[in-house]
Amino acid sequence: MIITNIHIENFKCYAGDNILNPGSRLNLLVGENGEGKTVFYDAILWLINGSHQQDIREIVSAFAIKNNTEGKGSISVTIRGEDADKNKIKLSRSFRWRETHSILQKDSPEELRAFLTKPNGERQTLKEQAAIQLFFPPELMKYSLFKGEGELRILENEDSLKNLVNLFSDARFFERVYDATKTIQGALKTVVDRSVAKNKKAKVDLEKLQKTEAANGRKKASILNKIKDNERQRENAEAIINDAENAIDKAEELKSTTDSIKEKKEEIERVKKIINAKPSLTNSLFDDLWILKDFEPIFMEFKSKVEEADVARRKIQSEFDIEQGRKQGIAEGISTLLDSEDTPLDINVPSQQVMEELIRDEHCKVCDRPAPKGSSQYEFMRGRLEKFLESQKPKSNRDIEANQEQALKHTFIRELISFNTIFSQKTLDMRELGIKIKESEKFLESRRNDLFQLESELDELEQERNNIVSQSDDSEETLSRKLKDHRGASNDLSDWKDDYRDLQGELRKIEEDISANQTKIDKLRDSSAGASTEKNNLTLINDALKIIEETKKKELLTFVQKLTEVSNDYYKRMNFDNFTGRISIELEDGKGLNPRINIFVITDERKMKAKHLNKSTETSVHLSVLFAVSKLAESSDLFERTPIFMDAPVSSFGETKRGQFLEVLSELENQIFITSKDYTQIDASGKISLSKPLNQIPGQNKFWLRLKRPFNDEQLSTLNTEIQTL
Amino acid sequence: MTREEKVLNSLLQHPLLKDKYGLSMESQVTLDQAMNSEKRIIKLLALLSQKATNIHSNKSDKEFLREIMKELNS
Repeated sequence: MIITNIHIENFKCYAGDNILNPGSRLNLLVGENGEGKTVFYDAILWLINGSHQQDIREIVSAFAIKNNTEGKGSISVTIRGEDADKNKIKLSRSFRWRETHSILQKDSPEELRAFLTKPNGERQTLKEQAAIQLFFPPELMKYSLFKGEGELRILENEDSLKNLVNLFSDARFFERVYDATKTIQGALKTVVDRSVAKNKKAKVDLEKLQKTEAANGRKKASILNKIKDNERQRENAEAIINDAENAIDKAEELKSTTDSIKEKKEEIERVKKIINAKPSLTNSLFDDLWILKDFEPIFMEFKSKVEEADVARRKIQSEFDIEQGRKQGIAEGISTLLDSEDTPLDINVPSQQVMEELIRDEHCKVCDRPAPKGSSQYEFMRGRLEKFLESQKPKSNRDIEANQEQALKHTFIRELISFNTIFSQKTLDMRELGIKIKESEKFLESRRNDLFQLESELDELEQERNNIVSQSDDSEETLSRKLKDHRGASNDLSDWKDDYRDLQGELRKIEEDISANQTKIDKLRDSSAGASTEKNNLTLINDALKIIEETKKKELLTFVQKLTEVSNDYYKRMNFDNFTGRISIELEDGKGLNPRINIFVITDERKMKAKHLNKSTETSVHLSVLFAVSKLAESSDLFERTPIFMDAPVSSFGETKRGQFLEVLSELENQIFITSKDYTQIDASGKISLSKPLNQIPGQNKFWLRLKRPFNDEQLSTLNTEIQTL
Repeated sequence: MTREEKVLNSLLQHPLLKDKYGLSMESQVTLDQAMNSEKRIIKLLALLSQKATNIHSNKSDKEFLREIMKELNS
């Protein structure tokens, strides 16, 4: 089907009647941002899907509402086309609207109408869906309309490509043949089994084997369900990983920085605690001893003077002692003399002998009077003798000293010397305290420096964290979540992959059991008597089934190989002079008659899915495969070629690559509508013009979508896009 | 060549035909030629190939199966 005319009336920024007459190949719609390119695409979507619950003010042109003096009008999108049989088809969606007291409402129901006009002029009304399907068959709809680059990812869904390949390769025909053959096989088996059952033992054996066959079948179905579920889980995990992957470097960087910040803060707290835990120097400052801070020189002077005084004292004492000694010597000499009879007493002092005689005789010979015992004279004499005898006794040092005179009566030297000792110790203590205080100050100084350094480092880390977040498209929370999701999904994926291997092992085992059981059944059937014709037919059918199955696989493989080759051709041309690797489209093994089909890109013998490459490479892979399918489908009689609409599909491409892409599109046989903001430019005064001469702009037909000037950039009702055919 | 004939000729290239039945297809075969073949396997494959374009076939499934069974039992 080729679209020959598109008519947009009062749809969003397309006020009034806007007509576009496209060519049958590449139609390029250029325009600046916000001037109607995506709205053009939306108009086609509205035609196909309708309004649903949309507020009609969102789709009816505000310009048309404002400038319509009657307060009512209509909105419509119409496409006209022609098929291979030259039938003309018109498809149109529309409704009437009215505005009353600023309330906009539908004045008629929304309708989709379709007509077919044959070459002979005969006209018939078509059912709406049938008409849409003429332009966009349901099997191909999702491969015909792409809004932005993201929607091209549809081919990442392996079922999508499988469906496309089945649709356009001959493999689908073999599937029908296979299904029919399987039905016949079933019928023949029933006949043969009836013959086997005629033998009792064989019947029992057959039933047993069939039970086993059924049980194995159920088990296999269960394993296949688990595998399917596993694949879905793996896809989910891969999707999460993929979604997170673009941000993963940033997220890991952010996590590392956040962890470092946490550690740094803990370190800072630790240092602060150490600083705060150090005993207050205040106590030390107000310690008793601290008063003696500058005491040492004073003490030294004191000590010196005390020592001097002590020396002087000892000198004086020594001289005094010598004198005293001399005196004592004389006294001792006299005492010695008194003990001897030879030494005369002084005339007034009776000798010891005389006194003893007087006392013995009880007669005082000095005054020549009797002195009887107990008399006062007697006592007087006795007392004198005792005193005399006492004075002759050798005296102790202390007694000598006590009786001696002191050299210096009051010196306080002893007290002063004890002060010396005390203060000397205090001085030592003071010195130690001084050292302790200095060391403490030094320690604290060092810790404060550490703290300053740590706080600087913390500032740097926080700045780094802010930079990471500002350079990312995601918020800090999202980055953290993505990292967590990525790690979780990676672990899950690893587990799922292990489970998948186990399940594949179980599948192989059950298939072996099924095969072994089948062999026993076949043997039993072969060995049974009767139904020989059916048995021969069954053998024939079994062979036919095998041939069909394997031929289908071969056809599929051939198509996929061809698809790979053609895809790579487009791929290389779209990425001319760029490193791209090569596309590899592969069938998954062991998937029976409907194996999944995967797209990889191989670089340096490394195989990657397209979604793991950069955006523009991923897009070019998808486009290449899409175009290759389209190319190979040209030989298919299933569908007529369908138009393809792409709204800005290559925004990630650089200028050169976009040019190469459009060149490739130009060569395709399909009718393609593509919007692009390239090829227009705005000068300093705001005037928009084409950036290249018309003949250098690719495309069979070129159109410029632009807002009529002047308009007010804050009022929707001033916007009116016109379609200019270039 | 019709769609059915394309399918048939693809099937006739399978090595099992040569290995088990001693058949070797060197040139393209039409549906009529295959249907008239003496070899049952070729006839069967020809009949089955008619199912390739089922949407254009006028035979119902039941009719088709009956025809196959008849051919097999003949």
